[in-house]
Amino acid sequence: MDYQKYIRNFSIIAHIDHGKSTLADRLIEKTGLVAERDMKEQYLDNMDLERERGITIKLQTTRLVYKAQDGEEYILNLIDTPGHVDFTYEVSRSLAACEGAVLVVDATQGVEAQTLANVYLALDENLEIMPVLNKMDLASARPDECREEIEEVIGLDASEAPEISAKTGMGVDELLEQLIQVIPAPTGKEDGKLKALIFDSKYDNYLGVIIYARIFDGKVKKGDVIKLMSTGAKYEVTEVGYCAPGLVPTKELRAGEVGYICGSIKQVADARVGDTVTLASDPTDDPCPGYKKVQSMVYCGIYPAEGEKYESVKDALEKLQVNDAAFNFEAETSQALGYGFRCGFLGLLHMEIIVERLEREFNLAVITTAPSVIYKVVKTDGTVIMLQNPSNLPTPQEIDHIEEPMVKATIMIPNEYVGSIMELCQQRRGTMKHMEYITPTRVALHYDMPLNEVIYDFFDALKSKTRGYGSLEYELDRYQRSSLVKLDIMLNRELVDAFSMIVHESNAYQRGRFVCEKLKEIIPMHQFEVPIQAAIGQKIIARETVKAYRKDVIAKCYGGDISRKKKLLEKQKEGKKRMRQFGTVEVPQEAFTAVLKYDDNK
Amino acid sequence: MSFGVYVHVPFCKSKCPYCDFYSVFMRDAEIKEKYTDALVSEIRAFAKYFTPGNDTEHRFIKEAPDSIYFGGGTPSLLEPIRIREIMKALDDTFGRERDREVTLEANPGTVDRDLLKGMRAMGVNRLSLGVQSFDDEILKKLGRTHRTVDSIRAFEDARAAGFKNISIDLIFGIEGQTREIWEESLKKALELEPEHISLYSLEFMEGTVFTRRLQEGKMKETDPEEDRAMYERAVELLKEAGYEHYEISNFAKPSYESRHNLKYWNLDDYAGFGPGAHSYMTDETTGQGQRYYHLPDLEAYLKKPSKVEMMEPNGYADDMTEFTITALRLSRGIDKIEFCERFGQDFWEFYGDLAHLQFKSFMDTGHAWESEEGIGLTLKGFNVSNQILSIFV
Repeated sequence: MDYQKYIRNFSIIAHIDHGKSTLADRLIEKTGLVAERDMKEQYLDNMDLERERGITIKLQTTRLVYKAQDGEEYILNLIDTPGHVDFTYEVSRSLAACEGAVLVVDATQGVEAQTLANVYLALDENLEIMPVLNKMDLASARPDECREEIEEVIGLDASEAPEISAKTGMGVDELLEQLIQVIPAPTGKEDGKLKALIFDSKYDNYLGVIIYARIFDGKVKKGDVIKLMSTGAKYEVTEVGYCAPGLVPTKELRAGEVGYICGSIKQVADARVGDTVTLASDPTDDPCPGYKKVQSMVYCGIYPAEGEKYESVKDALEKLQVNDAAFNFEAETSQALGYGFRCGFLGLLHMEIIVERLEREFNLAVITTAPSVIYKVVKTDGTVIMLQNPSNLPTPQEIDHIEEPMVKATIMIPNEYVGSIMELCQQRRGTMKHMEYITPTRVALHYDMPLNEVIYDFFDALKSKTRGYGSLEYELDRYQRSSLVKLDIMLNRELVDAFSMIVHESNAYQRGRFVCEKLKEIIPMHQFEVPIQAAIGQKIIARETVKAYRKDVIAKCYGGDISRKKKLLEKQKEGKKRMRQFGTVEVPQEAFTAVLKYDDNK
Repeated sequence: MSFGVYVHVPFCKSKCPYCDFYSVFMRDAEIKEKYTDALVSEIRAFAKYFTPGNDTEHRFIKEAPDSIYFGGGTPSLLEPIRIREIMKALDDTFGRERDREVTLEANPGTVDRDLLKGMRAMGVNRLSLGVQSFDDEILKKLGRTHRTVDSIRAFEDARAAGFKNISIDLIFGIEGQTREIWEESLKKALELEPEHISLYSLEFMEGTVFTRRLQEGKMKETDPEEDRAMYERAVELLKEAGYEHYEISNFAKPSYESRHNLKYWNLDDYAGFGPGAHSYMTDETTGQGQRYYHLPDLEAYLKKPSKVEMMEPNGYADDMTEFTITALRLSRGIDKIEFCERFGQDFWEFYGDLAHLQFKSFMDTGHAWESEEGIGLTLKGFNVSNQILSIFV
């Protein structure tokens, strides 16, 4: 009997908020894996942070058993994909592990930038794509328009697309039946040489690194010695099993199956996503295509806040790195902030997530400095520096020119916002490549933009200007020569290096003014006046002043009040702990991120 | 060491919209009798803590109190006969110190010459008059039921009744109060020549009507610049008139500082009776300061007057901190040698170099001073004292 006939390996792809996780929940529920009472909302998003933000960061994979109308039992391996622009590579590897994908489109919203991006990724992997119209329980659903959009924009036949509501469970049975019909079964060679694709890995305190893999050919069992093809590293397998969704050990994993492999691997960077697992004794000659080592695109400094230990932060960063191959860090020092770390991320969201995890999971107070892309600095002596930290920029005399990374950005918006978004893109130094009407009311703008402009606050601005309807996709394109300058900030006439940033000449005044105004709002009054200055080189381009405080006194303090007043003062002092002392000036931690936030009023 | 007694009288004829002291509307006269009985029973029950050989959890000092303070609420609503009952219970329990300060808070409009004479006869020798302002418009704004004429009459009646130590409370920084109106009130107060004056910058306390109005946007806080100008002008005027500015909000003719209130700022012992009253008493067995208080709940108090909420005993560090943040409210500041003798630790050794550095930065800007013997805040420092005091918590 060919067991592979009854396996379906698939992913769900969707734009953020179109209901991917909710659908996954329903599928799990329908196939009876998790009792209804144990269902947390959105089972697969297992970090609190993911649930709060409504996005999936860390993958989860689940084996579902479905008894179809033909009377047969099918194994459905649902391979989750991370839902954000920062994690494109991970998404592509998850998709590569599948034969097909369920494309969820919110019938009230239609096709979005991310929908498209994910579809292209799936098409790149030659997946069978099955469109599904979700949120059909809402009155604002417009299924016919959506079908049209899918057909016109993506070129997929959507006439058969099931109409479902992941929220109520409506149409989910039909979806499962169609899935079995549409998505092909795997056709691996069970007796071939082991060839398995790592689509995720995570660190477990007891098992070491858990590799999540799709077996294409051959089989693997406990005791086998496996080899990871990109590094050549060899490990003895200590356990294999299915994800159901908890770890369920099994005797072996065979071609066509999806499961996990453990082998006392110490950190996830040793078992990178996209790598091929094979047998050391009999390796495959044909590793999985498409492996690449992910590169950090955005860097920032992370420093222990006042009263926080350097070692605790280092410890936490190490723990996070063990579980996140895309995150890296090294020690650095700042005159203003002391000892800390320069950290590399896939993008801004990835950065925010890491910082939030440091704060929540490790209970650490940290300061993050302005995120920066990597600039290519060509010096007059011909040497090239890949600059991650703006304060390390050589003096102007030493610099021949600077190049900055450019991205291809696709922005999808309702047509009424075209004007304001084009204006926004222009402010951010974008060049429009072309514009297409996807439907009479929806527009895709294709821009060539500096990554540096994208990472500051572009996404927030886009969301704000389109009332949340705009979506963005981008990919790194090239480096390009550009007129860039270093903007320095001085507090009470002392340079605070942690605020230094590299900006385009044309934006320098505006940004300098903005940062000074923001800092004026945030820096508390001191017992003296605090001038805030922005400078390029020796030239001051903006200035604000925080006035000295005039009144902060408890007028009445008698017997009953003392404990209360003491608490009040303690709170005040606690507030100061959240501040960093720069020379004589105290700056709240949030100042570092606040100067980067998009401000509607500016 | 002697100690102070605070007796809370939680009754008011009307609630002032800025006040967050515990008080209830006084419905009938009967409640006064019940309340006096409860106070007396609490005071008498307190004796067990003072009796050597008694097996109690805490043991407090035995010397007779050198200060008794009737605060409120509106203590002047109690008749002299009630005051006598309470005083008797205090004398029976703690003994009677010959030279003691006995203060009664009184609202103009609730007192007349006879009542004040009666109070005087019961041993009250200091009167604290809640005048608040000598401007009728401002009084209305403050929700006070008396008027300027009542204040002046009350003051004169008090003098006629034999009070030689009278204090006047005034409030500034009220919306609509100009510097001129304020100065006028100060001058009227000075014309009366009280021995003591308290000047309070209006504070928006949690749970008050004023705070609610502020949050609703129906009221504004006075501009800090304006508020401080009023304060600084007052300090100037009072100093010219021969008053010593001895605490942030308090002024006295020489030797007329409030003995009772100094206990709070010097972290000396005081025992509070009545709902909402707080106490700080040194426990002889441990040598540690013990804070306890009554819940602000009259009904509960009447049922069980001796029930108190004990707080964690103060450690030495707590004592030092509380002493520092209150003693720095005084113009004389902290005597570092006294500090060392009292707590057995050098002041800056305890607070550390960082605190000293921070304090010095306030000296550089003229907010604080330090000499061989002591440290303290300047007038400029008083204005922003929280910033400086928070170094020490």
